[in-house]
Amino acid sequence: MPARQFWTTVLSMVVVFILQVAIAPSLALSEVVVEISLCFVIVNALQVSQSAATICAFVLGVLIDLASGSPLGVRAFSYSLVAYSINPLAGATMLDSLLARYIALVAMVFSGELVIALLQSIIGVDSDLTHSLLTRVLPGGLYDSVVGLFFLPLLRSKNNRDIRQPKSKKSLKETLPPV
Amino acid sequence: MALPNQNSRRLSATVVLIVGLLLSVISMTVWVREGEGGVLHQIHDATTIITAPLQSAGYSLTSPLRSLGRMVDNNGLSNSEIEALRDENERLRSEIIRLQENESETQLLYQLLEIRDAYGLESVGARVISRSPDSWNRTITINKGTNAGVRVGMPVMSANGLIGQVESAGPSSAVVRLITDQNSGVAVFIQGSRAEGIMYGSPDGTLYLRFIGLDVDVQPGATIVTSGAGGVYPKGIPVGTVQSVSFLPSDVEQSIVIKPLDRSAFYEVVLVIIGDESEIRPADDSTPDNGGGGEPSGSGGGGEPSSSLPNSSSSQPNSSGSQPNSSSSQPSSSNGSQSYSSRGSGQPSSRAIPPSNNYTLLSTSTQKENS
Repeated sequence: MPARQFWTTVLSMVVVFILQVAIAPSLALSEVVVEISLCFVIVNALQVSQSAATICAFVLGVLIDLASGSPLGVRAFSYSLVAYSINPLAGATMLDSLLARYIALVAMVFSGELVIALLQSIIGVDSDLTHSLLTRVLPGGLYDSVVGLFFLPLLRSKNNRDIRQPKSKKSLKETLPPV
Repeated sequence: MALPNQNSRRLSATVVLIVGLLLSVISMTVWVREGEGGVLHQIHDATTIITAPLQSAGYSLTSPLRSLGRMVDNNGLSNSEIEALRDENERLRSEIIRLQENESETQLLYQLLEIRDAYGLESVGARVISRSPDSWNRTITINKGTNAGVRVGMPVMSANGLIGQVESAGPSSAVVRLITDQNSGVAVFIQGSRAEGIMYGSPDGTLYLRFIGLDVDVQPGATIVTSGAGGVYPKGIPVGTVQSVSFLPSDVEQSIVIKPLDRSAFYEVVLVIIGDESEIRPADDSTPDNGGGGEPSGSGGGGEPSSSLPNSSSSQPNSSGSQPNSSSSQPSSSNGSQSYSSRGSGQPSSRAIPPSNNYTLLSTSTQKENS
């Protein structure tokens, strides 16, 4: 990962952590707290390499687990799995359109929430999985999906960004075939 | 066809994932098994202390957002409830105008929010500075910690009644697990019938009362108060009202849903009952004059004498009809501590609050006056 991208990612993670810990509780609707961090993990996984995405997701998950009352490792597990799973789709042509990428984000948000619910149920913190699916996963996933709309500007496909951003002289020289 | 370079990248990512998942599983296992005093829990508590100022700042900055959230939450109200709230709003407006006439009187009323005078308990008033940053835990963070005498296990009240128990405490902040959390449990009794049971939280914040037999007549609207059994919570503190009762002929107990007196979203100021040696003592340190015996409690018990909770209606505007009943006739149960952190089914709890600080109120004259 280039140094600039590395520091951008680290800074973004700090900002997202602060948002999740300080702001998200106040955005709760009917006791459902939005998982801004999960949205970030998904968006970040579409921007960086698979290894980097998985590591970032794991670190952010651990931090959120420490700041919340959940067992340590629940979010780290879920976020890592989500980031690893969605990253290969970043270069797929089926995700070229913004809508397709947003649908992928929604699907992964629900998957992430579902994995958290399953883990909570497996380790015995949450006794009623069905109840959790109805009262946490479903509304939480919907809420996260709505918040995911704010991440749309970051979800532009790589091709679109390449078109919009003019290349420098140096990069043009490198790409042009030698005469 | 994938290039060798791509394959190696994918392989390294897979290795990273496997390592991450293994670490996560190990962390979860250690977390569940180590208990409250474990290393991971201590790291979590330290993180909570570090992030408390951050949460406090965010909580202050986002008060307009919370107002918006309340507005959205209130969309489900019926017309009659809205009318009642409008009437209440008018009354409160006139009350505010009256209070604004005298600033010193306002200060006095503010101090009255620190409920210690109302309940006659040794206690510390605290402001809520944050709530749980996720949906799976119902906790609040308060701005008082060990420096103010707050310790793990101490009961916490709002102006209307019991709301939870201190789960972890730092020097200047503490985390309170609410009674609506699915890992909370409170020994209670129904004020009218005196039937004792255990009240549990649930994932969606609904409170359920269990271990009430079919022979007990439970009416919706009945007040639920703490029984004091187990010694974790003082006796006689209101926690809610019966919302609905249902059961099948084949059931052995009634299914009772309890409506909390307060909603966690609206907590601003709370009271931590810290007690002192003159009023509160460890629950297993029973005194000869506590009566003992009595009807058996299904939850173990605290062996406490009558409660010292006075009538709170004099200074608490929202406590009418929910003040603790006299407990002089309530038999105390035998000694023993009870863990309220796990379900009746014996399911393990990762955030179990150990009943290490079991508090029982000693009798005072105010209780007899109320009765």
